[in-house]
Amino acid sequence: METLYIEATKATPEVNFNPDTRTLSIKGQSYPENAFKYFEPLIKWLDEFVRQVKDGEKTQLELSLPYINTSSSKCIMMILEKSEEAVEKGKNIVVNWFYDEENESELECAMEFKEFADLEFNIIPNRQI
Amino acid sequence: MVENNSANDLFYKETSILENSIEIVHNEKYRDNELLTEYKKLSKHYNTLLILTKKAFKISDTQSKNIKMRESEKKNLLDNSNQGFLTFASDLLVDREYSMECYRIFSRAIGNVNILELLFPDNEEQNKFCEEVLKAIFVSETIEMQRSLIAKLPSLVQVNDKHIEVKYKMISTEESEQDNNILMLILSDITEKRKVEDQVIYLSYHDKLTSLYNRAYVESILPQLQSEASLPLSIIMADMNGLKLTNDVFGHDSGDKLLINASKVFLSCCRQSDIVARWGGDEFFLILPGASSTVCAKICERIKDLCSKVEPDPIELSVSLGATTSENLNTNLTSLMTVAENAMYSNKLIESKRNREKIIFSVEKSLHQHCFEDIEHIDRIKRAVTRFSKVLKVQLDANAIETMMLLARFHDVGKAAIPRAILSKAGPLTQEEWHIMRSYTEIGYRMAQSIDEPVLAQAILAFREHWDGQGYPYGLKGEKIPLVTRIVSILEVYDVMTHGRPYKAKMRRDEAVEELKRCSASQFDPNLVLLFLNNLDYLVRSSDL
Repeated sequence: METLYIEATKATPEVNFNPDTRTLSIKGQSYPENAFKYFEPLIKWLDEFVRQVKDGEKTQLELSLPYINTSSSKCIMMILEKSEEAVEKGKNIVVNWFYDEENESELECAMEFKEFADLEFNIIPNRQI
Repeated sequence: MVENNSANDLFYKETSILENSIEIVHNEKYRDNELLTEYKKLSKHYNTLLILTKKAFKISDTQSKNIKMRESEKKNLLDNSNQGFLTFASDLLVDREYSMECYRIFSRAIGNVNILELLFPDNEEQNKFCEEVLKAIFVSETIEMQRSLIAKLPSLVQVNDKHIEVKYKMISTEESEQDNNILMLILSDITEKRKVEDQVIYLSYHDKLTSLYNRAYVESILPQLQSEASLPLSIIMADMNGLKLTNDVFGHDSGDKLLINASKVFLSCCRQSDIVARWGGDEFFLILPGASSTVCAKICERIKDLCSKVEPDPIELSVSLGATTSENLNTNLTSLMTVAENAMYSNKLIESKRNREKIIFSVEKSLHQHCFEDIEHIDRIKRAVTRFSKVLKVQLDANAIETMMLLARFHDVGKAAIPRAILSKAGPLTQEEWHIMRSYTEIGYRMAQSIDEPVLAQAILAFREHWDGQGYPYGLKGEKIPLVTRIVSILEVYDVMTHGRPYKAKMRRDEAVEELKRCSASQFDPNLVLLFLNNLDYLVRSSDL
């Protein structure tokens, strides 16, 4: 799978896939005008990735989203749903959600997403990814 | 039934399920299914829920965008205000959000850091005091009480070598989980402003050239000095000798150096508690609290002694001093300064002849070192002057002879201020160089004026005038050129021709004679040239060759 890189903007996060470590990171604030339009290519890429990746090969989904609007939350849920479906089919996908220890609301947000997603989901304080 | 808008993209899955359920509801196949009624209800409510959800998402996203935009604008304002804004509640821990200037002031991130640790890291006493006051502020019941407590907090702190002005403001907030009130600090870095203010104060009380105190400072502290603790109080007034001459002959840079050297002498001769001030121009006041007349006299002696030891640059350092001492509290200090000043003038008058000699000697020495004058050349001209005055048909009075002697010594004194490169240049001078060179007679004129020799001054000024009016600086002609100048210029030029200069080889006697004849009536007074040549052997003894 090739690298994927989308530069961060004021309202959208950085997206970065490292094929060597098989880590997809989504990092930064997310409040685009049209969240679906922004995330759709990533969701499609994820579909293709899940198709290609071998069973058992570990893939990490690293998220660090200090601010996320409502529509972006829906898109993240869609990404998590896709990941969950992939795990059910035998893929090895782990979610690591990083939050700022000084920001309680970030932790709460991470916990809400964890409740939603039924796959390995780790909430980790304060790491620069 | 299904709302068709762009939000469908986000809920495509849900929309697809709903569309499917509507199809099922309308499908004849399921008409008799006992669950159809309930299924219909479920679809309807699912549709409503989906519509409401999409609406809520849209409203929420629009509000979020607006909030983020305003947050960004406010942050921009605060971060570019060049002031530090931070807040904290009763726990004294700085809140997460603060302006960028705070980061610069404290050189680190300050969120969740105790405010006392930031403001008074090394001062335990201040730290403790402020902690008590701050805690009291948060529990005080009235605004007046808060204000009076805030007034006790320091308005100026030092953080990492920066001077920070601090203002405090109590803010009511419903947002804080802890308290209803938070305290905001507004920090302004006034380090540069302080530096400028300090510099202004310094400059207003110090002389820029010498760094000594100035007149304004002395006038400001006079009331303080009028006290028992200052007695006995001595005052010395010092007046520099030869400053004007130095400025005129050697330029103001040399004059400034002289002033600086004098200042250094005064400072090194005085005690730490003494006040050394430049009163103005070339005058200084040295105020010596607690100094008896004996101590004062010793300081005067030391000053004179040290002045004589300073290397002449360009002339010997020389000051006239006047001193007085008061042991009486009632003596008015301004009057005391006048007494010292009068004493100085009196001494200056007494020392004037000696000072004048010293200055002349210094200038002469500089002339010999800097230019190509040598003592022998001057001595030969002086001897020739004496002899010439005897052969001259018109009898010269003693003053004229004296002037000629001085002219022999100082006709080229102005060259001391001419760059050596120009003086020693072998080839022709450029226009600019020539312009500089020509000014030497005027410089010499000013020097002579400053040692009260007006006749000599005129003689020096005219030294390059020509008999035919083609000389400089004024194109004087014939007998308008002073006689003493006309005489000495012939004697001087003959000596230069027959003894040479570093840039010009000497001529034989016959060659020099021919040259003088050639320039007679153009450059030189023809009658005097004739007289000179007719008495050449007498005027220029073989021992002088």
